[in-house]
Amino acid sequence: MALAIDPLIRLGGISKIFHTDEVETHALSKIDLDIRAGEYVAVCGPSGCGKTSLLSILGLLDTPSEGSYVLAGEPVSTLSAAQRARVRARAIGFIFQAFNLIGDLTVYENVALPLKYRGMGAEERRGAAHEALERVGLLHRLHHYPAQLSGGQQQRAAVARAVAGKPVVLLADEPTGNLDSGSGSDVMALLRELHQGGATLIVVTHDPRYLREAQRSVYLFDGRLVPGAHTDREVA
Amino acid sequence: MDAFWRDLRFALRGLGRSPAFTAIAVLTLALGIGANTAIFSVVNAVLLRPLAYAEPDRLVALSSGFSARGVTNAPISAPELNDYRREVDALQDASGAWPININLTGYGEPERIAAAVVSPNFFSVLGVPPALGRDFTNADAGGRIGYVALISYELWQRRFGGDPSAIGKTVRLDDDPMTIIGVMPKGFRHPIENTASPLELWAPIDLTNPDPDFVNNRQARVLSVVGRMKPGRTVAEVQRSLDALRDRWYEQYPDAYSRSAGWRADVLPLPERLVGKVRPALLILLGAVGCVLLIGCANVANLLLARATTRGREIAIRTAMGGTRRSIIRQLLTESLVLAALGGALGLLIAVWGTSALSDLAAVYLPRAREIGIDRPVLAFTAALILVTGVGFGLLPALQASRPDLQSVLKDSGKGMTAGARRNRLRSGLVVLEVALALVLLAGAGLLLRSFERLVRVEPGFNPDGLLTLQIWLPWPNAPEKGRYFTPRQRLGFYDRTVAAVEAVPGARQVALAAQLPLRGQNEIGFDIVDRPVDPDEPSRTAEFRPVTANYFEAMEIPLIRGRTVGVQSDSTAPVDAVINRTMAAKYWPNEDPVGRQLRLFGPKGPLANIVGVVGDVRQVRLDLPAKEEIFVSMRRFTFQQAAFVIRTDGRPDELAGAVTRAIRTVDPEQPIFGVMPMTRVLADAGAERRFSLLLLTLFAGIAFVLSVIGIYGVMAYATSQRRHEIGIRMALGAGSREVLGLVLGQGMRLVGIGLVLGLSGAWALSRVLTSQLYGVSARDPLTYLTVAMLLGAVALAASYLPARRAMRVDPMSSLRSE
Repeated sequence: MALAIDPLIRLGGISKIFHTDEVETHALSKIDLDIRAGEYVAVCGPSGCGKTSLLSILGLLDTPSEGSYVLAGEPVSTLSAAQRARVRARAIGFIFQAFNLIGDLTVYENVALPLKYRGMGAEERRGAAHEALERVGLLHRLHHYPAQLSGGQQQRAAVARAVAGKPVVLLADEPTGNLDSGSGSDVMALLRELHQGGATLIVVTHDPRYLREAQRSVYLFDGRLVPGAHTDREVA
Repeated sequence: MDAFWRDLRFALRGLGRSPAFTAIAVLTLALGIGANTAIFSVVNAVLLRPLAYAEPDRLVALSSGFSARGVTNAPISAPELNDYRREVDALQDASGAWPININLTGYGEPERIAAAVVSPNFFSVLGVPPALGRDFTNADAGGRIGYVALISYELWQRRFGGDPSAIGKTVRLDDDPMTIIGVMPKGFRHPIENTASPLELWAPIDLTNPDPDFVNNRQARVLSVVGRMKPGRTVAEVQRSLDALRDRWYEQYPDAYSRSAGWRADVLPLPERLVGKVRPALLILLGAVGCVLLIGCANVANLLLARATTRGREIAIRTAMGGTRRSIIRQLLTESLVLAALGGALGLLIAVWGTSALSDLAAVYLPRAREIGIDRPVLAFTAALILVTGVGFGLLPALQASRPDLQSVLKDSGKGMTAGARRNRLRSGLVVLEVALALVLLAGAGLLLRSFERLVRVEPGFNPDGLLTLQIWLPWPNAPEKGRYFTPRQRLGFYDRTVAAVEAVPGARQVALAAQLPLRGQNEIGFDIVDRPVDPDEPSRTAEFRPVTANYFEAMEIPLIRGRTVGVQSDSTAPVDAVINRTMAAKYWPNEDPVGRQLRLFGPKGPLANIVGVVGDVRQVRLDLPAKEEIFVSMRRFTFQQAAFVIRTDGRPDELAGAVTRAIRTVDPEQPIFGVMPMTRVLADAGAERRFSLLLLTLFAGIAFVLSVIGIYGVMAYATSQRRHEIGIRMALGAGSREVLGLVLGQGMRLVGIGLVLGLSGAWALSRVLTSQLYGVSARDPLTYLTVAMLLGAVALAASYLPARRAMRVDPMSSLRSE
């Protein structure tokens, strides 16, 4: 997947409707959004505004009810579950608010897991995992289990897992939500570093302190992008 | 006490709130406890309950044997019994019984009954007096066989409606008028009897009669003997005396006691003699139901562990509110005990039905089968089982649940990673245990099944299909010369007339007679080969002796290999025609034609017999033993009171039974006819012992199999539901459905694999236990082990596949969101 394709992500008229019993909930309505390669975008908005739904669609964890999604020049909104899993393994890195490390796997095994799903050979996997852990400063915790790490270390391990495969886009859902302010700042600094290294970052956050880290912020309200509420640091 | 009632109320309320859980747990326990209770009721009746005789631990069974021929538990002769009574100091007394068939007539429908002529001290040795009337006295025997009889309670009820005036009544037994002098107590059993037909009548015989043509013959070994030891004396002391007598008799009576044949006299405690043979099979079954119960307990423990997880918050709150660990364990154990009690109550109902079925199933071969039932010891066993299982399956979950991580449960923290695996490890261990136990049982059942299949496929040496059989016992009164069937001519006349009458029945294609049916007992004789004396080191020559009619081989479809069959032999002075079987021909004339050779039957003074033919082997004694040497002679030369009809029919043999019986009655309306059944049934009865073990072990293995598969499914379904979040993460990280399927199946099959390895090792280690129950298959038969392991593995795979399919459908977003 070539990073030169511009925009890297193009959402056109994306809607997501959930049906529960006879109630229809519009989580996202007619979202149009372009994200360039290497861009650092923050998605913000109040609780229930559709941030997580947007991130799920961007991460191919979910499919839109309507609209088109083109990732690195390939339409992905109509892919089958298996195809989406392959794209996820190859192109997308996730960082969750709750870290979501697998408790029965060591730090190294957690980091190497997506590489395994990508079909990477054992030796290459080891190199990539080591490199990612070195980058987040956890190489010395290679064989520890998540329960043996602090919250901040767990999130750094989660970041290493997300970046080990050098994904096309890195999606972070409230990455500091479960951390104290010190650990939160460390993680945001890590993301900044990654961005400076060329990563495309889309971060969902409530925290105004971290909004400033992004080049651009998009505001969601009631499932819609709020017109004119975009900020673009570079443009500005 | 208040705490107990409170715990009980909570337990009932809690179980009532989870009816599905309660129902599954109770049903599982009911199966386990019910099966255990039923089998224990058999073990209790057969092995544990003291014999219903006075001081049964002082009773012994005396028998003879021939080491060289592998013969054990053979009867003994009257002179031997008399010597034992005189010379074995450790014996207080001993009695002899000679089981016979007898025809009861003159009081309603003629009936053949199993009876015994017994020494007058028979009941006093057992220490059981009649319930009604009086016991025998020496005078009753009148020097030979007395004209008085004691009858069983059951016969009294059946033929006399329980009327006390039956005492003093005269009935005709083998045409002799016999006066009933007493009725034995209800449930009294002759100590050593044919389990298929219990003895119902006893008449006294004078075993001290000096007439060698009556009973005073050391080689006329017909008596089963029960002795009563003096208080404080031991079986070993009796055996020492018997050994001394044996050594003396070798010198004193060399004709009667062959040292080369290894003649010996044996003594065993009476219970051992009665049930020693069936003990291994019963203990195997007890072990098998124990495994079923363990598997059931593992399943219920798993359910409780899962329930404890969902109740973690409730327990944490109780603890936080000041509840002690002890009080929580007590509460949880009360719940398990209530479950076990409910399961036990239902299990008892299953056992009541089961014991009745077992009693019927086992009646043909299991001694004391009619005593099987639910009594106080069985109820106590069930109660103990309830207590042990209740604590057994409840303790571990209770211990684990009573130690909650309060912070974690109450604050719902620890969300940064998926859940730890402590509880899962215990659950997984239980699944491994279940699979291992189920495999052990399946391997056992598989071996028995293969063994039984081999046995069913054994060629009996004749074609049983389309054959109807029945038996006749011609009356033999105490003064035989006065009887209707005393002379061979009289007996032959009767047989000729009945054969003609049966041949006239439409559908009866061929009617033949034999003194005895195959697989209905032994009739071994000694013989010599003319011009080939017995080598001094050679054991005496013996063979099965089978008088038959000339058309017997054709009717039975026994192949004639050489020569001809026995002739009509109407000339009683002509040499006897003898047909031998292939085994005998191969043993004595391996490279020669035996036809034309001569035998001397029964000993040096016996009649000469010309070998006129060789026929195929017939399994005369047991299906699982190779054919022995057999000599067939004409029934016209050797005509007994006892005869068996074999009727080759055109249609289904049982459809002819009524017409054949009526035809025989036209010849002699007072002649009882018994054992009317297709020959296939005779064969089936011969395999009854193995069928009993096979049916039960297969049943228990089946239950174990189903329970363990349910257990595997339950654990995998639960583990998968617990791993939803993890699966969501893996899917977010790029795992496809194939990886998820592999993950869940891998987890399940890893447990199953460990269980299979342990189970195979266990089955291998226990294989020796089954050896005595097998035929034609090794107790370590790799094919059986492999087949059952693959079967269990395949079904376990299917049980894991269902949760795995559900896991494949996990929506990663919703599972991550729900977290």
